[in-house]
Amino acid sequence: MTAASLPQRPTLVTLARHIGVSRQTVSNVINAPHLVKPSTRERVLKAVIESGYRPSVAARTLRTNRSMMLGLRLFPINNGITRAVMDRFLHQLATIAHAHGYRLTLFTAADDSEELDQLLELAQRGAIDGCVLTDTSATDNRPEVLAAEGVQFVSFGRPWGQPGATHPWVDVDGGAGTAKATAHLQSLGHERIGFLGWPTGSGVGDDRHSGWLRTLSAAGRADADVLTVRVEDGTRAGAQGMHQLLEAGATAIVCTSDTLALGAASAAQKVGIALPVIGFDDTPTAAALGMSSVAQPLEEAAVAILEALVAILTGRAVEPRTTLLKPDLVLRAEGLFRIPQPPERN
Amino acid sequence: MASPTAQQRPTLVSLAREVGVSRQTVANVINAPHLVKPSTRERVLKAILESGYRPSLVGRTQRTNRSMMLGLRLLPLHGGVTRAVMDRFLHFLAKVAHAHGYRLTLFTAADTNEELAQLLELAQKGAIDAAILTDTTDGDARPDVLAAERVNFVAFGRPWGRPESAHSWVDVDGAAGTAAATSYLIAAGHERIGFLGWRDMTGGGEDRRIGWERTLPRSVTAEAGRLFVGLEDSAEDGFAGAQRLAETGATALVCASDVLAMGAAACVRSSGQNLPIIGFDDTPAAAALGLSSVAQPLEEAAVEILATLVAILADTQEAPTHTLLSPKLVIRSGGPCRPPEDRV
Repeated sequence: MTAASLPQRPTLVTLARHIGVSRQTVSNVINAPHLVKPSTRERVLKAVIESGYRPSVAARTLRTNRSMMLGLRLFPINNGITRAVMDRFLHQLATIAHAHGYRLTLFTAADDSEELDQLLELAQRGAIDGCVLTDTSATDNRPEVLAAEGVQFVSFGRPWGQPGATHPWVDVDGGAGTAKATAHLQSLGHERIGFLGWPTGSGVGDDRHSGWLRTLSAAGRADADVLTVRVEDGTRAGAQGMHQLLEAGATAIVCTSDTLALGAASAAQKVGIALPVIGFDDTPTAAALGMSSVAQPLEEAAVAILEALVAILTGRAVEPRTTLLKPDLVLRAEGLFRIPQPPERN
Repeated sequence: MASPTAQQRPTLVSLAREVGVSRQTVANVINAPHLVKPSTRERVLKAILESGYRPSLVGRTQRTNRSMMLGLRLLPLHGGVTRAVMDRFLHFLAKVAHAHGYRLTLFTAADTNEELAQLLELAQKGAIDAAILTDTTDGDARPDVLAAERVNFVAFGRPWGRPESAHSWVDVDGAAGTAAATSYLIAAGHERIGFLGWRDMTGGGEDRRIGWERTLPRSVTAEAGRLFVGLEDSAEDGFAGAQRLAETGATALVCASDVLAMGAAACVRSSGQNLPIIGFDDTPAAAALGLSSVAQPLEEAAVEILATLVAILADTQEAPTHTLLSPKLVIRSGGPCRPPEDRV
């Protein structure tokens, strides 16, 4: 039954013709992306992804003695809205890996050390060619161990608090995201913009706080402490935080997560207060409810991770590669939670 | 670096002692679950899942010449709240597979033909021991092709429209879920219970609608057509659908998804009506908003799928098994926009 659709399946040749480049260029984008001009690379990769083209793995494994598999630990779900961003990242990673001819070996682990045990076991018996690390933290020793054991990897997440780290990583500049959100609220006339975030100590949370803080400070506000509320991630905590920030005189709120934003926005709506709230991660929930949010460029992150890995695995990486991507601000005005007009200025 | 935790890491012996069974019983639950009494199996598997125990693979792959990998296609990112239930299922599948010593080979494919081509390639070179199919549809050719090519698999999802299919599958009884939701509303004093569904109700959607229809009180069954609205799966359409159903005199709503329920709840809130709403899939969004919903037993489904696969791979399955699991009604009365069901 597969025969009928086979003739329509894209090949290197049909793809090259479709995009208007040489067959070799398409092949390079898949196997050696660093050899191709970034603008061409982007155009070709987009076409490869859209077409669903998949390099022949059978031929490659035979030729190169590679498994064409990348290891990835799947972290447990906490059933929350916030954590689901990593599931969306997984979809992007699998899609981009596919375009480069790789599949993912997915596994769970009780902790970092069991994750390492599994990655080392998989790498030693040639079941994976490399791996992707996620959920980096300040006490993370995974990069060191993998480097010492000669297992190739790229990390999605910075080496928080480890300025000496030299391994390749790709991350999203959370601070740039909250800075954009804060600047947007300022452009609407808000000055007392509150920050509703997580307790200090998480790299990601502190990074998001810093973007709000520097944007507020740049506008000459010295009362950032009063306008900061830190709570655990949850809608109930978000609702309570909203009330605290209201008492502190906030007229708009930037949040570390959509979960907090959802709690804050619903609580504001419940008491009939017009309070613009901007969340983080642009979750499906935020989209469904019409909430504004900061979106991580997950596809771009997956593209950068695969490019770095392919370069490393083909022995053509020249230096440790680090990429910090800028998130987008997604403004929604037609949804069920509207960003209201700013209050009258005194 | 691994030594401090390695000492605390569970072993077959420590697990057996903890549960109060023999070491062999724990090994059987992992390698041959069909040999163990269901109640014991459940108790031991629970302890294994909680402990994070993982059977040693090095020995097994060498001894059995198996890859200890299961192939699974990951569908493209949809972005919606509804589709995210499959991501949650993936987490349970990975966790239960881990307890049985399996990992997942995850890949994307443009269509089911390419999915099949990849599964066949992986199976032929021994890179996977079996496959798991999801998103089964009416006219799905995958089971036949895999069976013909002798690739072992279990489907998460019924063979819609082909009840005679001979392969093993595990599914959730959506109709039982909406029936439970409808019964709950009837017990709360409602008769005119509306159903907010999708425009395209094939497969799972129709199953959910049937559960509602067959449970409606006899006094309103003749009006079932008027009490049904089928729209797109979005909060906006949930809002509009709730409005239309309220106009036809519905006093409570059962929804085919949490997104529709979220929109319906916003409609109810904005108009100040008193209309209880029950969604479907018990998404994190429903939990956050305090919406009642129908929860699919995803972990149980993963447990059944793995138990079936392990039996097939151990060549001990006598006949294909069909497992239909009942979902659970989750009633919530807290949260920022709770359904006002406390009026009765």
